[in-house]
Amino acid sequence: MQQSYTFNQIYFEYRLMVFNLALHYVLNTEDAEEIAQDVFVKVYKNIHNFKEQSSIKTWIYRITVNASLDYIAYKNSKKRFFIFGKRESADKEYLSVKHTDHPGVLLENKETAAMLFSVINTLPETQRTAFLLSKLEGLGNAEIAEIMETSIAAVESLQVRAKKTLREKLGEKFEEYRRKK
Amino acid sequence: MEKEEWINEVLNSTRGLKKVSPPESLLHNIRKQAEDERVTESKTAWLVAASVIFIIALNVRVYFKDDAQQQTPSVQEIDNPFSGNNQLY
Repeated sequence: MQQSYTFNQIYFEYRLMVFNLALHYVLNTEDAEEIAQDVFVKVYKNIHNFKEQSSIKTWIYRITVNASLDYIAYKNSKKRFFIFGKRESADKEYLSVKHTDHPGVLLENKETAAMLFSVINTLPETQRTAFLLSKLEGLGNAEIAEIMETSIAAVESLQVRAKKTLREKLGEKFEEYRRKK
Repeated sequence: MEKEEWINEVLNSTRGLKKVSPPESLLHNIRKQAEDERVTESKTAWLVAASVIFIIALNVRVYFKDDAQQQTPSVQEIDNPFSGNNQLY
C-alpha cells in the first residue's frame, strides 16, 4: 500500500519530465509514450532498491536517458535487420523511424525546429544528451554531470563540441536552404 | 552574415517549447505492464524450480536403480556358475 502511494506520487510529479525528455529524443508521441511506460515500470519495480545516493529526480532522469537511447538503438537495429530482409518491411520501418512530430514546438517554428532536431539526431549519444538536457530541459552543468555520471568539465566539453558540430552541419544545410529559396 | 543569422534562428527554434502531457491511459498501462511482468516472472520462477526438482528426482532414481542392479545377481549368473578350471577343450 505504501509502495503504491509512493509510486503514484512519483508518477504525478515526474510524468511530464519523463514524457517530454523522451519526446526530445524520439520526436513523436507514440514512441515517447512507450519509453515513458518502460521508465515508470522500471521505477515501480526498483523503487524499494533506490538507495538515495542521488536525488530521485536525477535517478529518474538517468533511467529516461538510458531508456530513450536503448529504444533508438533497438529501432535502428530493427531497421538494419529489415534492410537485409524484405524490401517492403524495410520501407515501413524506415518511415516509422523517420516520422517526427514534436507537439511542443510552436507552429511558426515547426520547419526550423524539424531541421534542428534532424541535425541533433546525428550527434553522438553523449553530446546529444548533454545538449538536450542543457538546451531543452534547462538543467545546470552540475546536474547534467550527475545524471550522466561524469565530471562537470566533461559536460562543458560535450556541450562545446555539440554546439560546434551543430553549427557546422547547419552551415551545410544553409547552402541547401538558399538553393531552394 | 545571413548564414550566421539563419543558423542562430534555427538554433533558437526550440524557444517557447511547450511541455506536453502524456495520455491519461499511461498510468493504467504502466500498472498493467508491471503486473503482467510480475506474473510472468513468478511463472518462470516456478517453472525453473519444477525443472530443477524433476532433474534431481531423475538423478536420484537412476542412482538407486543402478545400485540395486549391482547388488542383485542376474538369472544368467545363477544358472551358469563360474567354471573352476581354465580348460577350454
